[in-house]
Amino acid sequence: MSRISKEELAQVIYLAHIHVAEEEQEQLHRDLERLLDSASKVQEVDTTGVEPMYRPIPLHNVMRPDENRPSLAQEKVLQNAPEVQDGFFRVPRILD
Amino acid sequence: MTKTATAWETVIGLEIHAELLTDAKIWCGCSTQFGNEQNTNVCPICLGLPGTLPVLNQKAVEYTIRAGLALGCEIAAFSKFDRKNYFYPDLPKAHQVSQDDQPFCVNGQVEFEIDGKTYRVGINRVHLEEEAGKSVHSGDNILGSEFTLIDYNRAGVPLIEIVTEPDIRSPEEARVFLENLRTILRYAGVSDCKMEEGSLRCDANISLRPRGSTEFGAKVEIKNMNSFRSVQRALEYEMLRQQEVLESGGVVQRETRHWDDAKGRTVAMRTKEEADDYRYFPDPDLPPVIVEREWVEAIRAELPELPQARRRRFVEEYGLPAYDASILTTEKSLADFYEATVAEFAEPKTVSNWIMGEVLRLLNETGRTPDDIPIEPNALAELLTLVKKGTIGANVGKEVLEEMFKSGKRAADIVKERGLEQISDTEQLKEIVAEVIAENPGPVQQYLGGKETVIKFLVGQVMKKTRGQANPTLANELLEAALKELS
Amino acid sequence: MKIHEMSARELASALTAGEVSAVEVTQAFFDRIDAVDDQVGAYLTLMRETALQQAEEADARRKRDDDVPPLLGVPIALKDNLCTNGVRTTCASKMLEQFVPPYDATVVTRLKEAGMPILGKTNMDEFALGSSTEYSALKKTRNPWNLERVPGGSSGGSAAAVSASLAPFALGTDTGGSIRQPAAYCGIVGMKPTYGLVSRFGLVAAAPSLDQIGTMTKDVADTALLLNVIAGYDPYDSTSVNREVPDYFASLETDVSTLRFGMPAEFFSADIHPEVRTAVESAIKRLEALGAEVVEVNLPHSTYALSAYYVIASGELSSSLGRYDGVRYGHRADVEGDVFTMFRHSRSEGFGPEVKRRILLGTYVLLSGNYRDYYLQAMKVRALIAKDFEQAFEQCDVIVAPAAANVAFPFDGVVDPAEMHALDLFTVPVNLAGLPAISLPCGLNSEGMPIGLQLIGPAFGEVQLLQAAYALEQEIGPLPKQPQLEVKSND
Repeated sequence: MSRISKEELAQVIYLAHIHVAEEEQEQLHRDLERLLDSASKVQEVDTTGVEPMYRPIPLHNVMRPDENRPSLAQEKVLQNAPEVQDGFFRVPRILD
Repeated sequence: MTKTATAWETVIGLEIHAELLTDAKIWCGCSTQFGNEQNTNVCPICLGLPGTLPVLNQKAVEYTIRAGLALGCEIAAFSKFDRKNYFYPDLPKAHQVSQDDQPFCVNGQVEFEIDGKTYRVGINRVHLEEEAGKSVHSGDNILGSEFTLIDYNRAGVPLIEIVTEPDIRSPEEARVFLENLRTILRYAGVSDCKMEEGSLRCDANISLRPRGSTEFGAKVEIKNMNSFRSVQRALEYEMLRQQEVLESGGVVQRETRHWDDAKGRTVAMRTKEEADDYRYFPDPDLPPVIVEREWVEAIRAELPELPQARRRRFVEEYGLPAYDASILTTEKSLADFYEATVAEFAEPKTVSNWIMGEVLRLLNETGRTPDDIPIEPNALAELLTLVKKGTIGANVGKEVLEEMFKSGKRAADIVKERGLEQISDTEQLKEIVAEVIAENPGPVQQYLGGKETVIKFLVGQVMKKTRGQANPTLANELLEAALKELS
Repeated sequence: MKIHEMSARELASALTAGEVSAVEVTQAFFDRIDAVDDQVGAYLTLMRETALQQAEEADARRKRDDDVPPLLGVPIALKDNLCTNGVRTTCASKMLEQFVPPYDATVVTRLKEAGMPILGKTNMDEFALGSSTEYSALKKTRNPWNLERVPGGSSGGSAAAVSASLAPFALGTDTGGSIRQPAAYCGIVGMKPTYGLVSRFGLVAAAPSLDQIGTMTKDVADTALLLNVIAGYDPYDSTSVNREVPDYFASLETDVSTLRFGMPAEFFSADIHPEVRTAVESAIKRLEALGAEVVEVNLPHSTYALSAYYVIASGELSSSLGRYDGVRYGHRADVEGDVFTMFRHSRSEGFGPEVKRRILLGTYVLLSGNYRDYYLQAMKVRALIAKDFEQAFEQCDVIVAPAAANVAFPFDGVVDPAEMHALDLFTVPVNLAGLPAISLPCGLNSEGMPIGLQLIGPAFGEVQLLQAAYALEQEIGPLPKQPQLEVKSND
């Protein structure tokens, strides 16, 4: 049984912003099917009335005061950027 | 309006984003100050560098709750943060930390008036999230630009999103609601709400439906409205556009349209091939927030009197006309200034006239806002006292106020330095009156012939000779007496 | 005994006694690295200059001050997903091959404050996804016990470094077993503390609700010493727990006969290699011989742990790894077109196949149409697993189990990604519940490969967990031999 349709695969690839070459799609599809076989085992568990546990140690109201701290120097901000211009990060055009 | 306009009912809902006035960003200590050099209010955390983690700014939560209270919302006892996942170059982590299903505030409402009629708009929710960075497009705009430059100074500034119910029925209502919302948020002190700086932004959903229908039509989302006026204009344009589509038998597309202010029209934005799916899930890095009642009450206690209540009180307590009350209360600082002045000079309507007339005019001329009125309320009260006592005339008073705005000097000092006191010395004025009578035989004859209105001209001549400093009432009396002697 | 063969505690004693200097110790490890790391491949980046500088400062500090930190001058290695100011931090990914953080992780700051020279950054599975370090995009790391076998993963470089005496100890990170399993494969002690005990600030996130930094050491005493340095509240990590941190080293000694050990029936009925089973069971018998009570406990939902782990870890990962878009740092593809095309190709080129598979799986389980059936359901299963542990700890103080079902496997031994994940069977439930656990060597198999045993404690039960581990270690004694590596001559 197929858990993930070709359309769903295409949507997931689209949303994840990962280019997948045409010839790699089939193998990827098979890999994901197998991973999902294992992942979907959670659905066998009866979880009626169970509260989800989003984090292992329950904490709440972890907050800090509204105080300024020094920012980074601009050159440090930009030091790892693939492309910069005039103190900005530069990227290709947003719309085609 | 065309005849068919009444066949359709317009349904509008707004989504407003307001940046909060905290000193530091929501997750880190970087400054939220506007207008600094690009990429200088940035640290590893707000840049989303690998390994960094967010820690919530308590004031951002308190301001969100304060905004919710000012908008009449219920404050949730339990609230949490969720990740909204999408890719955009101005979004450093490819997810915006926001609130999906458990926002801080729900179920509020805003009441306002247009031409004496009261309107109510429901507030569906107010939630806290983080601001993205800013894109600067090469060329004129995003379309056709070759590259884009990104500045992350704004990234991580705390932002509230306010979502209204689809209760708004006209573009004008939308604008007036938004103006009222701005006033409320500014009163609450949570946002400066400057649309021109982007600290207040508004997107709108608008649909049309046959009048009487309870179903909603296909809604269109309008973006890029950068002023209160453009919100109304864009919605008016879109309302007519949809009406034309419907009346020509067409179907309104559910889509997002971009308001082009220069061209005065909305333009469809490119639709993506697949629907976005933000894949919300609770942010594992941020524990939830439990809001105890005492905390809410402490925040409520910090809230000032809100504009609507203050407007009503101004009418009741000071006997002001509704119009005056509404102008004086649009800005908290103006209303504060008004009340402080009245406390020193107990003629509420006179103070209102001077503020609405002269003070606002001078602010406008000097490019100031009510937040930075350059004089103290007691200085205005002093000036009004001088006018009332007759030390100076009203017109001279206006000149003195202008000088007070410029130099910051006290009214009495300006009057003294420039010798602006009214001439109320009878002997001195008598001489001038005699001169005026001698120099104007014609008008004098007319007066004596029974045309008594000519006295105004003669008073004017006295004023002219004294460069406006004669006490006009006294000049009038002395002229009448001298002319009586001639008859 | 050669310097590089000494434990951290022994080094600290020698430094305190003035028998060696920190510079000599640090230099000795670089000499050892130069001699054998081309066979092992543990390190991705060496920090020679700064480490020797730190060593000099440590020596000066010892001369100057009367009261110095216990590990002053003892060097350490770091897994390459812990950010180091000014030193590249790659996560063994092409994506971050050139990434130089402008800040230190909180644990790194603590090590520096403790005067511990940092030798370098160790290899790992790319973005900590994997169980063999074979998914490193930058280097192959070999198991020092048998160079044809994997060191385990994802903290394989740190495990191999400690095992091959290329560092006295190291930090690793554990999302589903990434410290404990490679520690077992390499015959060392690996500990994952309670979630929230050690700050994650500066740890490059894989799955934030599961990730935890921990220790990889030659023995339990070193674990306690190192935990003393890194444990504690950090205001920069909202999930860090603000509570008093005890002195783990000072409290190591105890009478094990007062402890009750629990053997989870579900773990011991799993498919465990007979030699591993025998070694673990004989260790348990030693505990009984010491007077400890051993009881059977149940973790009925643990069979669903791997499945829940997949869903949670992948879901969180897909979001955490969104930031690698080629704008602010990391690999950018040289491609024509708009910014989104650039994103797609940068991510496609920068991430390895396993990372991409897991991002896509994670994207799928978070889709609005799948969220309830996968992500939310997994979080509920997680709650049941945590509750199982809670109930088990009503019957025992410490849970004892294998660290892995088998010893280290040969390269390319496991090809199916799903099967690869199944290696984490005994470690994953611990991460889901956020508990502390330690793996320690309990023998060698017939091929001479080390076997690991795992002890699990209740949340913040590190003191007792380390006491139990320490006692068991004393009872088992040192492994009959250590890895033998050919030392290159310098002539």
